[in-house]
This record gives sequence, structure tokens and C-alpha cells, in this order.
Amino acid sequence: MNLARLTLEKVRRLRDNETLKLYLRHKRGLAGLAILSIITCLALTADLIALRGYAEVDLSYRLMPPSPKSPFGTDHLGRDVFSRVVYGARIALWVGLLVVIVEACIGVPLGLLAGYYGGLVDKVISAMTDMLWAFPPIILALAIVTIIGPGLTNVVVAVALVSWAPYTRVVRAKTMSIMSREFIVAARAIGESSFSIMFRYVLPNVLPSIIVLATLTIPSAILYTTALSFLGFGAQPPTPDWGLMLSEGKDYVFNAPWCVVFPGLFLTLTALSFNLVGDALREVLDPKLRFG
Amino acid sequence: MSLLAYVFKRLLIGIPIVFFVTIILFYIMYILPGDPIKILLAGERVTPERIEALRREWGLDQPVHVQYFYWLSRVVRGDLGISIVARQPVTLLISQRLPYTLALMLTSILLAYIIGILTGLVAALMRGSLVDTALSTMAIVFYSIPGFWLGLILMLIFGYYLRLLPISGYEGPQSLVLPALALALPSSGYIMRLTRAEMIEVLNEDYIRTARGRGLSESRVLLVHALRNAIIPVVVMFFLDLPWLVGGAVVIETLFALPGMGRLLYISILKQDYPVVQGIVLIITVLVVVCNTLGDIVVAILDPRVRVERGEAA
Amino acid sequence: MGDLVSRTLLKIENLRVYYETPRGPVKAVDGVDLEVYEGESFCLVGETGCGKSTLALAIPRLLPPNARIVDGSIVFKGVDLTKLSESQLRKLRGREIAVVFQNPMRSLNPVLRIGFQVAEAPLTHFKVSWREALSIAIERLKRVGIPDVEMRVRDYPHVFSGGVKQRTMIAMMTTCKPSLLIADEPTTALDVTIQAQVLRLLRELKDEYSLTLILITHNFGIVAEMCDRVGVMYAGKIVEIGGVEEVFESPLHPYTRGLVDCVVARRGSKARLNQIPGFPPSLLNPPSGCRFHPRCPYAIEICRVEEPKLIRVEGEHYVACHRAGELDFSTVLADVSEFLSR
Repeated sequence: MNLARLTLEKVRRLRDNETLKLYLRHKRGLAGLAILSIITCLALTADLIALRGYAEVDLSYRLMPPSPKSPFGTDHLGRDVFSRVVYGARIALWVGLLVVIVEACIGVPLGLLAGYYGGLVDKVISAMTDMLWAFPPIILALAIVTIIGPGLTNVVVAVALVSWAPYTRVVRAKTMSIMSREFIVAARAIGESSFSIMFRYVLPNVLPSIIVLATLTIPSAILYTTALSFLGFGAQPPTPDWGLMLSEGKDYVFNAPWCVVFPGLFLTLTALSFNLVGDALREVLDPKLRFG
Repeated sequence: MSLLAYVFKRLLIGIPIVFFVTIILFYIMYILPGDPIKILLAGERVTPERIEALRREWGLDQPVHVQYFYWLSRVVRGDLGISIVARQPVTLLISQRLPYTLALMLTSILLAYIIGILTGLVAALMRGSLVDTALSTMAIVFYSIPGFWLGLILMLIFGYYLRLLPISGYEGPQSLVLPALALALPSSGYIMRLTRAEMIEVLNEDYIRTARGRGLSESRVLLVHALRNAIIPVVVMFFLDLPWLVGGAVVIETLFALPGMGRLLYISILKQDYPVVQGIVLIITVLVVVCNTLGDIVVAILDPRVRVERGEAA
Repeated sequence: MGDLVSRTLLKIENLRVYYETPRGPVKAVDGVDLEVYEGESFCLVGETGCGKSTLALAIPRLLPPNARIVDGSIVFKGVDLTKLSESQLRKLRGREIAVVFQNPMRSLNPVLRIGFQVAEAPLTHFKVSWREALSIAIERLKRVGIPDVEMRVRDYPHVFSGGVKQRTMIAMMTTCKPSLLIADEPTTALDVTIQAQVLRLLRELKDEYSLTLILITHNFGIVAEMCDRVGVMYAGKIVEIGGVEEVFESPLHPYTRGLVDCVVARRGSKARLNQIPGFPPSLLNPPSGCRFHPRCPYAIEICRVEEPKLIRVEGEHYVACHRAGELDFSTVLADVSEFLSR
């Protein structure tokens, strides 16, 4: 497929790219990448490094502080917090990725349409996007979850349905700027179908912006889904979702703070790593921010 | 066009938007699962005829658009219905709780913006220095922290270990400190980055060089020329952030057991108390439209270029 | 044309201005010596990227943050500007030394009224009341030919055309009657019809207030119209300086000859297009010896090795070329006289 070939070519060019070299000198970006790698490793090797199953209950061992046997302590059901945190990483990354993919699937086509056709299509799509973007996402997501019921998958759908607006905006803006370029005008003059133009010419040029945007929206996707789980509408017990762990642990926060500290800490670190990477990418790709 | 004309135009557009959104809103509420009548009478033993009579009495047997008009006419008169759970007017419930939420929201947004703008300006002016790196990193860390976790940690440190501030319920303004911090700090990080980026971009503009070229004092260049331009997107963000904070307020109020509208919304959703949910979402919707309109108007005040109608250059 | 023998207003010696970039220092101005006399119009001419803007902006030190004055001195009315602090320079900017920038579309603050912006300079330098400053501004705006000034004064820049914006800039910069006005390609971004108006305005102001004008351009036509003396820049160095007529009629440097050729061929009846072959060199890694040697049809061995110094050939005519005086460009003579007499 043409798109795959183009992407591959871009990756090859990236290897010798100045941008890459600049990124490697960006300390925060590297730190973000490092943290992200660690968390990804944890997620991938969860089965190996977890000390016990995440649902293994041991009521004789409840709310124990961190010890060699349980480095992060145990929760109110005697489950090992460390193991749960590690499995939770898997969930968080997975959820973040899914949400962003769904968001992009909704937002990118809309942005392409709006940017390509302009006029009434653009007005309608932009109006929708603006209205959606203005509304507090949590409230809307709550509304959707109330309709379709609780559960992790449902929360993914709900959050994605509520926060696709940035993708439409970015893609629309980039599309519009590309539309005036000669090769587009030429393609239209030859009589290429709109669909083909959008796919073969516009999309590859818009792709880098989408990627940067994705890295920047994954953290908010993770944060919203965990917030919904925290409220009880997302992951259901015994899923080791970090938000759910915070919700369960909050009742014991004073005598067993480790139930809350560690999941939240990892949640923060995950969001932080994506934010650092996305921020570094943006700075590196935008020449204005680099020097004067 | 003149400023006044622009303001009128925006206000005029705002009204149909509110109507439009309430229609969508009403429809969403309409298709929510769960039969309000059954919930209302939960536990009571009633005959099917009684149920039907109640349904007719409440107008629930009418088609959607008729129900919408009934509802709208009541709303305009200030009647948001009766809470299924509390058996009290929704308007009363909300008005009891709205002040707490407003207090929380206003405190946290002011806190967030003051901290964010000041640190952002400092970072922009000392760009590239250690101070800038430290502030920028801190800002990114802040906006990566989930508000509800921050709330828990603050509770732990200030409420438990240090016993400095209350952590549950409302005992006075001091009860708002920790919740406001939990809402404000993550926001402030984002505002800091925005301010910094805008300020840096403005400082690179040609007109700043022109200002310096006239020998104006540096403070004048920064305040009258640079800041005046850089602050515009930040102010717009302020008005857009206000409604977003309501979302955060739901979580934070629940966590800190504050008697606010957010917590009421949460509880009402759990208990399927639809009139209350509907009323609160309506208020939020109006808030969103009002804030957006205000934001547009303020931008028009601050940036004269926005007021230009197509084809209006000299 | 003005009297060429008068007091020196500005004397630049061995000026080097480098830009710091991740790939190394870009030597935009690399050893320039220059003198500008009181009351004259001096043109600095050269291709895009040869460092002329950098040179001009280095005088009031309005360079981007990554630029550094590495060496040399800029002596204005007896004071070395490179040694002044920022606050000392501020007193001179707008008051003694004024700059009109290239792109009027972006050089005015979009959120402030033009009356306000024009009045700021007298407010700062003359310590007058706001009302007085504003009346100075109105008077200046009238002088530069902006219609309906009393009404327009409360307008914002975006409603004006490019020509009006540029004239507003000129008004803004001349409120305090500076001694030196530096105009960095003031007409490049404007329509051709407007260009003539703006240039005429500059000439009038210069005569009215005995301004010294440094005009930067890549357009030799403007040079012929506006200037008494001209300096030709190439790759960060001055290659030729002299009176306008001298340099046009008998260019001593091959590069100057090439430039003159282009202009004359374009306007003359003979449609000869004598382009200078090759591309301007990188200022990151300039060629060794004479910077022009890769493109010079007359280059000899020494041109590749040693940098030529600026030497006086006749009167006020200087050139930096190893073969100065040897080369005969006299075939150009007839065309140029005709061109200049127009």
C-alpha cells in the first residue's frame, strides 16, 4: 500500500535526519523516553516480574506496609500492590493507545473533510468540533457511560467520543495549508478523485503532526479513563486499573498510604513520560522554538 | 466593525446555541435507560393503572418534542423539576450547592492562572537559563499529575501528617484550600507552558524590534508591547477553562466530600436521579455557552484584528 | 549630489558580527571598514544573505539574540557604540539613530493604535506630556502624507495598506529628528508604484532635517536614484566603496561589474543578460582567500590564497581586489552613461 511505502521511506530518511539528532540532545525528551521504556518493559514483562497474581487475595495479610515480600505493600484484600501496579501498567498503556486510535479514527477523517472541501462542510464540522471541545469532557463521558454502562471498554469508547476534537482541528489546519500547494492543484487539474488525493497526498503530509498530537493526547486519555474508573464507572474489580486502585485505596489512605501512593505515582510517571516525549518532539520539529 | 456591533453579534448567536444544545441534552436524557417512574416508586407496590396514571400526570407518555416544550417552559420559569431522591425542587438543591462549587472553581482558576502566568513570564524572559529549565520541567510534571491523586496526597500530608487543614466536608473557607490546590496545580503547569510559548513567540516578532528601535525602556517593551499581545490566547484559555473545571470539580468534591454541585451530580448519577442530573447538566451547558461567548467578546476587545469583517481593509 | 568632503558621522573599523548556530558560527560580517559622512546618502548594496542587514542592524545593536559582535568598533559622533551598555544605547535609539525596517506588515504592533505607537518615542525621549507627544505624532503623520490624520490616529495598523504602514514607520522613527536614519530594504516588500513614493519621502526628509541616510538594498536602480556613495558587500566583506557615479561608470571589482552589468542590460536596449555564474557562498564556511574567487572570471592564483585588503585606488574610490586597476571594464562605459543620464 502506498501509505506504508511512504511511511517506510520517511523512517529511512529519519535515520539520517537532523531532527533525530536534535532530539537526542534534548535532555527532557530523553528522560521521557527512558521513563516510557521502563514502564513499557514493566507492562510487557508483567507476567514475569509480578510476585503474585493481581487478583490473589490473602485476608490474613491485609494492609501490610512495604516489605521484601511485598515491595509496595498490600491492599485491603491482601493483594500485592506491586504486582497490581505492574499489571496496571499494561492496562494503562493499552487503554491510552486504544483511546488515541479511536480518537484519531474519528477526528482525522473529519479534519480531512473539513480542510479539503471547505465551505459548508467545513462550517458544520467546525461548529461540531468547537461545541464538543468547549464542553467539560468528564461530564460528557459520564453521560455516555451512564447510557452504555460501566466497564473499561465502555470508558475507552466514551473518552474517545468526547476528545477527538484536537485531531480534527490540527488535521483541518494542516490540510488547508497543504491545499494551496502546487502538487495538490496539479492533481485536481488532472482529475484525480478527491478521495485518492486525500489519501495519497494530504494524509502523508499530515501524519507527523498527528503523531506528535497522539503523544500529547495519550496522557489525557489515560488520565480521563482513570478518573472515570476512580469514580466507579470504568474498570470493575478485580481489574488492577490504577484509577480503580486509587478509589479502593482512598478509604485506607491514612493507615495504608502505599495503596494510594504507588499506583498514583506510576500513573503520574506514565503521563509524564508521554508529555516529555511529546513536548520534546514538538520543540524539535518547530524551528521557531529552538533558537531566536 | 465596531466593538459594540461585534459584542451584539456574538450575544445574538449565543442564544440559539443554548437552545440547540438543550435539545441535544434533552434527547440524551430521554434515551437514558431506566424508567423514572419505577425508580420513583421503588419499593412501593403499585398497580399498573397507578403507574400509567402517574406517567400521564408527568407527561411521560407524550412524544419527545412535546415533552421538550413542557420541560423548556418549566425551565424558563425556573422550575427544574423535583428530585426523585430528595423529593425537593431541583432548583433548590442546586442553589444550595452552587455557591460551594463556584467558590472552589473561582479560587482554583485564579490560583492556577496567577501561578501559571507569573512562572511562564519568568521562564520566557530567562529563556534557556537554569531557571527556565527548572520551571518548565516543574510545569510538565504538574500537568501530568492526576488531580484526584494530588488531592489524596495533599490530604495525606496536610490533613493527616501535619494536621494543618481540613480534608472532609465544609467547615469554612479553609476547607477549600486543599481541593483548590488539587484542581489548580495541574492546570497551572499547562498555563505556564502556554504563557511561556506565547511570550517567546511574541518577543521574536518584528514589532518588538521596532519598539526597541525607538529606544523605549525594556519594561515598556515587555509590558505594553509584548505582554499585551502574548496574553490574548491565555485570556481566551481562561474562559474555556472555567467550564472544564466543573469536570474536575466533580471528582475533587467527591473526594473531599464538599457539598457542591459536582458531588451532587455524581451522587445523582449513581442513584439515577434524572431530574437532578438534567438540571445540573443544563446549568453546565449554559455556563459553557456563556463562557465561550464571553471569551470571544474579550478577545475582540483585546485584539482589534478579530473584529474585521470580510473585505474591510482600508 | 552632496558635498563628499565633510565630517565623519559614523566610522566602522574591522567589525565582525557572528551568529551562533548549532552548526557553528555564521560569519555574517567578517572584517568590515566603513565611513559615513554627515549629511550624505550612503547605500549598502549586495545580494541577499551577504550580511548587509546584519551590518546595518549592528549599529544600533538591534540584532537577534544569537548574534554577537565579536570584534571591531562602531564609532558614532565620537562614541564607540559597541562599548555602550544596553541602557545607554536605548537613549540613542529613536533619538539619534533611527531604523526603518524591511517588512512594514509585521513591524507595527497590531493591538495598539498607530497614534499611540508614533507618540511613544517623543514621550520617552523628550519627557513631554502625553498630549504633546500625541500632537507631535499627528504632525509627523501629516508630514509623511497620511490622509485624514486626526481620524486615522485612533486606528489600528491592520486596516492600512503596506505603503501607509511604511510611511507610518518612517513617521514613527523621525519624531525625534535623529541624526542617522538606517533604512533596511524599505521598499522591498512594497508595490512598485508605492516604492517611488516612499523613496521620495525619504529623500525629502533627508533634505529637510539634514539627516544622514544609510540605505540598504539589493536593487542597483534604487542606488542610482537615492545615493551619493555606495558600498558593495559580498559574503560578509566590503569589496568596493566609492561615489555612485564612479562605481557605476568605472567599477573596479569584478563582482560590482557583474551587478552593474545586470542592471544596465536589463534596462538598456541591448537585451544582454549577463548573470554572475554560481551561487553566493555559505557564511558558515566561506571560501579561502578572496571570497569571490570561485565565481570570478579573472581569478588568479593569489586570489585563492590571500584575502585582498580594501585599498584606495582614486580619490574616494576603494576596492578589495588583487587585480585592482589591471582589469579593463571600459566596454561598460557607454551603456552606463546612458543609463545614468535618464
